[in-house]
Amino acid sequence: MARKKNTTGGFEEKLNRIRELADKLQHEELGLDESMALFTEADTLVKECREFLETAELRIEKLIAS
Amino acid sequence: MQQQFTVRQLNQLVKTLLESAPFLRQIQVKGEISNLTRHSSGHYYFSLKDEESQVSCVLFRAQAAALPFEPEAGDKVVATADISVYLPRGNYQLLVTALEKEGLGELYLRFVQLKNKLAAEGLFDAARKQPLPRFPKVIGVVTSPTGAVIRDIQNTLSRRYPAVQLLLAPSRVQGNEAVAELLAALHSLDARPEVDLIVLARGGGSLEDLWCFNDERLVRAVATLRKPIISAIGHETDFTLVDFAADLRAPTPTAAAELSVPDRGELLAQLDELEQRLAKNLRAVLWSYQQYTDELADKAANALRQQLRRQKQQLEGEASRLTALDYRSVLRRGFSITEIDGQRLTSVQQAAKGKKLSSWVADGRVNSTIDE
Repeated sequence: MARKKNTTGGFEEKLNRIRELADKLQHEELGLDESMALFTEADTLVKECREFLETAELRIEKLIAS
Repeated sequence: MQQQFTVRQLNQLVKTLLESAPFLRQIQVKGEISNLTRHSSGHYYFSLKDEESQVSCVLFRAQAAALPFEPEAGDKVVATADISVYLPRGNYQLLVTALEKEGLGELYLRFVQLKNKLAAEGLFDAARKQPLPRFPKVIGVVTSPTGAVIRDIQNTLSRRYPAVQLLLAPSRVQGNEAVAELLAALHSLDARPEVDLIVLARGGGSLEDLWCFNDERLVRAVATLRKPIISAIGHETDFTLVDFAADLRAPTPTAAAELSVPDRGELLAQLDELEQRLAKNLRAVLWSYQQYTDELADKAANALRQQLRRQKQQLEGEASRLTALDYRSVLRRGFSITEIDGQRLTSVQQAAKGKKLSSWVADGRVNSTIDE
């Protein structure tokens, strides 16, 4: 059987990072280049998170009693 | 002759007789509690009565503390008691050692007693409850591998948050073998590092069917697992001791699945919102830079204009000064410049009779000769 592949890794971290970036962009005085870089990073993470949620499929594995 | 007794001797005799009768030891008496007094010493005094008769009872503090319920007047009970005689009054009474509410089975009493005992140990304390992970990646499920429960959990997770892996540790969920299997399943999941959360679930059933979830070993195991655990045993109205020991009790297996994961739809909505916020924030940054550069451009243009104006003024000043210095303007006023021998005539010393003079006036030259 296909072994589990940990594609779920870091969803929570990503979500938190997006929030952090949005806050930074809103409240900190940043250079234009830095602002663009933060936005690009956040935008990429949003797309990754969305894809993660939209393409995920429930996986089931049964433990064999030892 | 018949023997004569003092009252005291009589009462003592009856007391000895009653207390030594084997068939009157630890007897069970059914009746209703009345005239109940709880003395400040902690002892209870009451009567047990039925429609025709009543008997005095004492329940001492030590036994009262072990009761699974607080006796009240009107309770229909079965008392387990020894018989004694109160010498000063010569009346006999029951020394109650245990009280059961009538109509509640032995199972229920054991349930209540075990519950009280484990509660007293602090096993159900809110402080012991572990928080559930918000975004579990692997959920361990202990339940029967066949039947509606695992299917319900699967369907609920597929719909709500499929980004999770289910690790099913199959176990029987009723009968004599169940407790050992449930314990093994729980411990094997608890030992796996990738498991974030455990769900222990069973569908509805009779009190007897659900009974293994009141097993002391199982309850203790649930209370002391390292991983957080959600229990969902039976229907909404069923409470087992496992439910009290779990970190969260769900009313049904479906509800347990719902409680174990976030909602995908809500998360997607949150992402939409975040995306909009990001775009808005970026627009605000861009706009402020736009404004800033506009201001800079305006400032530069102003500075340039001012400098141009200054230079123009300077130029005009210079020009008028030059105009003032121009010899031609002097000529126009009637002065002339005269040259002699190719040199400018500035002194009479240069002049001599017969010499040629050449004079510049405003609009040309006049040649002349010196007469004297």
